[in-house]
Amino acid sequence: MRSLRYSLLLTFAGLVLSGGFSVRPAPVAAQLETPRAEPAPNPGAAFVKKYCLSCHDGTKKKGDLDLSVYPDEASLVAGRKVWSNAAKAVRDGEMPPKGAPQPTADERDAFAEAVRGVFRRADAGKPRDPGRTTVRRLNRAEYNNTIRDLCMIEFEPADNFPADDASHGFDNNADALSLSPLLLERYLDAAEAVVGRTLATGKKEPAVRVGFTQFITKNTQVPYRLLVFTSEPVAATFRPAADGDYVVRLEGKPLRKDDPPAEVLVSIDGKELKRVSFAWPEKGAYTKFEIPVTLTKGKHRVSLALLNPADELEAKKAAYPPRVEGGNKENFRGLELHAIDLAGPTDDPPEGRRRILACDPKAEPREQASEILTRFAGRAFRRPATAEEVERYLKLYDRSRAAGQTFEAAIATCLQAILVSPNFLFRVELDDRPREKGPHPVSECHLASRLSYFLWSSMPDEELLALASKGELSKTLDAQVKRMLADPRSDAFVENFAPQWLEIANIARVSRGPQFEVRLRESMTRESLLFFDHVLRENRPITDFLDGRYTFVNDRLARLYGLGQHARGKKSDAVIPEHAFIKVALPADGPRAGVLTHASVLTMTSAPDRTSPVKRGIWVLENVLGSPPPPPPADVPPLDQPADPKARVETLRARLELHRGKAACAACHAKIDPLGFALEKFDVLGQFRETDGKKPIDDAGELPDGTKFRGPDGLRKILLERKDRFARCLTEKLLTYALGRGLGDYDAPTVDAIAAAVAKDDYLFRTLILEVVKSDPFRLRRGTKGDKP
Amino acid sequence: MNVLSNEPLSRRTVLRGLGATIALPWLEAMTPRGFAAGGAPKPPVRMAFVYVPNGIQMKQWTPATEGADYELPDLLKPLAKLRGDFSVLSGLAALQGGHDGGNHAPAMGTFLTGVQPRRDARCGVSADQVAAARLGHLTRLPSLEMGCKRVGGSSCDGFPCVVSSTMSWTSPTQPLPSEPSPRAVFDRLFGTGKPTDARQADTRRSILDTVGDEAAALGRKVSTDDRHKIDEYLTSVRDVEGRIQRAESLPVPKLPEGAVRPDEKIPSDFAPYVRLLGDLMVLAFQTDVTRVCSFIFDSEQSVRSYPELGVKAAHHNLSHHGGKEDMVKQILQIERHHLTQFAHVLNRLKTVREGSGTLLDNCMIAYGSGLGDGDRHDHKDLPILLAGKGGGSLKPGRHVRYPANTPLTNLWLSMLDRVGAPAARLGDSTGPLKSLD
Repeated sequence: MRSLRYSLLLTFAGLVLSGGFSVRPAPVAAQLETPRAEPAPNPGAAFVKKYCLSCHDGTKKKGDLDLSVYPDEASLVAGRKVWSNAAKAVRDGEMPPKGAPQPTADERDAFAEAVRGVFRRADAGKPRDPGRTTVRRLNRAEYNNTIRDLCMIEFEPADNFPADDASHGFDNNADALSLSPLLLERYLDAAEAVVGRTLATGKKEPAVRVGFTQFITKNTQVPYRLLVFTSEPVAATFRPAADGDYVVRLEGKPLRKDDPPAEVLVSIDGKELKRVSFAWPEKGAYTKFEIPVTLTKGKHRVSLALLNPADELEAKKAAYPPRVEGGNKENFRGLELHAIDLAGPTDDPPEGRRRILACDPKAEPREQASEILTRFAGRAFRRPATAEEVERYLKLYDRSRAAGQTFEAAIATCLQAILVSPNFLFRVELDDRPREKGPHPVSECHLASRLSYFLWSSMPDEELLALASKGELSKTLDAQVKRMLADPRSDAFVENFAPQWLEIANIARVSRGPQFEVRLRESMTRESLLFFDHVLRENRPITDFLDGRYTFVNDRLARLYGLGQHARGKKSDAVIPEHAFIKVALPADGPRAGVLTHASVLTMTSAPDRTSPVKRGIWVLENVLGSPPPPPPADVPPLDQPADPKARVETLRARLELHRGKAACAACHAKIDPLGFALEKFDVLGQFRETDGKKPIDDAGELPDGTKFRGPDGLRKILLERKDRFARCLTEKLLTYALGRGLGDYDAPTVDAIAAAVAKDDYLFRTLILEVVKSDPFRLRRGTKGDKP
Repeated sequence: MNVLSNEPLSRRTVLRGLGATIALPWLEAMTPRGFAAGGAPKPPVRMAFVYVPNGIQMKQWTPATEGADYELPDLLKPLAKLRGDFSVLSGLAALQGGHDGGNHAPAMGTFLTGVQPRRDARCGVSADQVAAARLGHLTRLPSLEMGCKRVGGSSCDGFPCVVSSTMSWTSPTQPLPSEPSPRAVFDRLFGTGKPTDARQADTRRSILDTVGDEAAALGRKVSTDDRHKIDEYLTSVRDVEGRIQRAESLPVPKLPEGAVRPDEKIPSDFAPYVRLLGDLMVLAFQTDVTRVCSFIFDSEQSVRSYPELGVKAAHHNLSHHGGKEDMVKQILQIERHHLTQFAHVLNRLKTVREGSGTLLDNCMIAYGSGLGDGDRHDHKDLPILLAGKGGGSLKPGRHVRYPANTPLTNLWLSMLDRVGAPAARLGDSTGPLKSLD
């Protein structure tokens, strides 16, 4: 009944609208004023009636889709997902299916535009929903980088963590990043190791160690000790190899137990360093001193002078070695020097240690702890720590001290706790304006983290945090993005985003036989990363990813590609070095350009023993055109082989054509396979070939809308004609990565706006990044209204 | 000592030298706990779930007749000597064979949960974790999750890959990753060999106290979605606290003589790799460090190839053979290879004496896939074996055929009953499976 009534309405609407799809000036405002106004009719109705309803009506409901129940704009908005998919399918030429009457390209565009127009009108004036990212756990790369920046140590403990799960193509997706007990155990281990390394004092073994045999002295030496009786200095020379902090270590004692302590003046290069007093040792054989001294590289002279010889006369008499037996030894008084060393250089206490432990030296220990923990927790949490939080860690400090830990050990325990606390491991964005109903900017601290984890996969640095604390970060986004991309930390963006977008991150896991050795895999990955890096650093247009006639190769890849000295046929002047990568121009008449013909991508889209046009086709749809096909249905019927062995098809193309013959498969494979076949002249490792075995390769294809093309050049041409779709696709990928969540329908206007801005600015890559950073979902958060209770 | 990868199996396994003569650690050390009700203590029942991906060639798997006298089908020949120790269970299905799109990834997610995984990575509680929740306090580890490293691209049928590589879920949002490194498994079971440091345990306890408080406070301030994540964190905190406590209160497991800490390097060939993990499971059961194990021979949709068998094509690709003979031949090689490794694990369990029988007698080891016919992507008539006597509660050695579309989860319910962790429902279950004893 329902559908019948709507069908009637639709027919009516169709009549009214048969004029076409020009975006009507919205009568919405007028309607609002007159309560009983007609609802705005569905502007796509005529198109739908002409091309769609023969399958998608109330009776046939093909694909469980009934397009006849959407009489007006309001119903379209309610069925937004259905209609945005329908508009997309029509615009992309996927619908109507082959064999059905086909709309012209203009009709397609007009329909898609009309549907979008409805959404735009519905959204007009309303704040865009910026969406919401769940609290996000640091993934492995982010953990490593954050530890590096927080503790100022080079250490990558996360390499032992279980792998992070990816969702929507990226391993920084908040929903997929779970925290198992196993992982928490690893966090505890890592925290212990990190704090241990951070607080290590960095004392090294003595670089220079000198026994007394090198003393320059008039006194004669005895094998194990040097006896000093006079005020005349004895001296030793040292040649430290580097500038730095050293320690002069002395061991000695008075000659006899009952003697008064031997007072000694220690000088260095003739300048007084310290006066020390060698009393009879209470413990051990000798009394020991360590005197810190800062030295430059080169020769230095350390001298010791006894300040209280028995008396000058006696001392002079004693300018001879005392005899062990007899003699007038008891008349002498002096120092028995056992050893003198120069040890060092001691490292500066590592910077991390110094900065983390810095505190008011005059304060009480607990106040010092409070100062240290407040500062460290604030940096670890990427926002000021609250008093309540600090108090909790101080309680832990008290407990640890009460259990007998030293000050430093208790601090270390607290630092460990901070490193396994939820506020460190998760990026929590508590709302600083919790009463606000509508979308509003995230706090500046959180914006700093969003930026730094997007471009650096790490915590914000001091400049970002300082700007944030002054509330100025959101005003200086352009300058900050520029600065951040110039910082080496932005390599993390290349290393984390690019391989996941290009789906080459798992290249180490695929097997392709013995020729696919480690070096080749690494070279392949490197090529793609360098290419991406180049487009980013040089601010090239993103279309370079599709048709850039250049790439980066080392000798290994040049051999694979036949470039430079390895060129087949005509000789090239370029010589590609064995180990280094260089940028090379690719021949204009060659098969390669852009990332599509990178060996990494072609390898990853092959099966171990053969190429896979299906995988390659899906890759293009997913990563270039942004319209991944749905997964195959359950109960796929097997491809029937004719009983007669002679009639069996042997080539892959023939098998896939058989596949496409099945209605269940055709809808998607008609879209997938031709794109993949265009790359069929690249084998499982991305090497160019003319034949598959002995069979010549046919790399021609035809899109569902009838467009014919051939080979990689033909494919590139088709993709370039659709560069706006590519811009949208790359925008979606970047936004997904930047936000750490899958995109929803409500993100579509943002994606469109960014892609349009990029198109307007010659498709420059940095414009894309900047637009993502300035977009609503990146800067804003939902208000209370958007948060489901 | 760069071991394990290129060496013959027999000398390389962790149970090297371990035979029937080794005394049972649980008898020596653990009898007073739980199962000693006067007289001879009854050994505990252990359960394990072993997963193989991409379905099975059912024609070569399913026996033609039911009962004890079935003729051993081709694929089950590697288990010939063990035929009295396992049953073939036919007719079981996941979600009545229905799955919402994307058929590999959800096959694994559904296997132990009976729940259709969602694209936002929500699944259900798995059978092994139901047992772990109930029995975990009795052993040092509530459960052990391990499996060979995933071999595959980044696409998982549009699902988060966690769904295709994780069998165990403590809650619909908490997958338990499986540990791929034999050394890490060993260290989890037995520690790193360093003496347990009581000071460290104390420190960790107070750290966990502190951060647990912080998480609880945080949980009160965040919205619902966020709270799930914080709850997940808190659950992990409690779990680790429990482990520390049990590690202190339970007797230190005594490693059988000859058990060696595995090398850090993971064997590159499949057989030595999976056997090493299998041996660790045996060791874990034998020493009663845990009673529950999920063991992923290989992740769903795996594209592992087996050059050592002369199979160069990827497992997943071969599963879509379309009836092509040479492809079927190759995938059968892989499936037989998997069953050969399974036979190895069962044999190991059988060589360990326990009470008046063997360790295998006190185990229930399920083996199977979440896909039946991989070429068709179907989830009906799954290939399932159940090995061991379950402490006398199972009667192995038969082929039992159940009515079509009997939920696989019914089998898990029956196993949960027998291990002492009965559950009323699990996913799509309709009641315990009959005819197992």
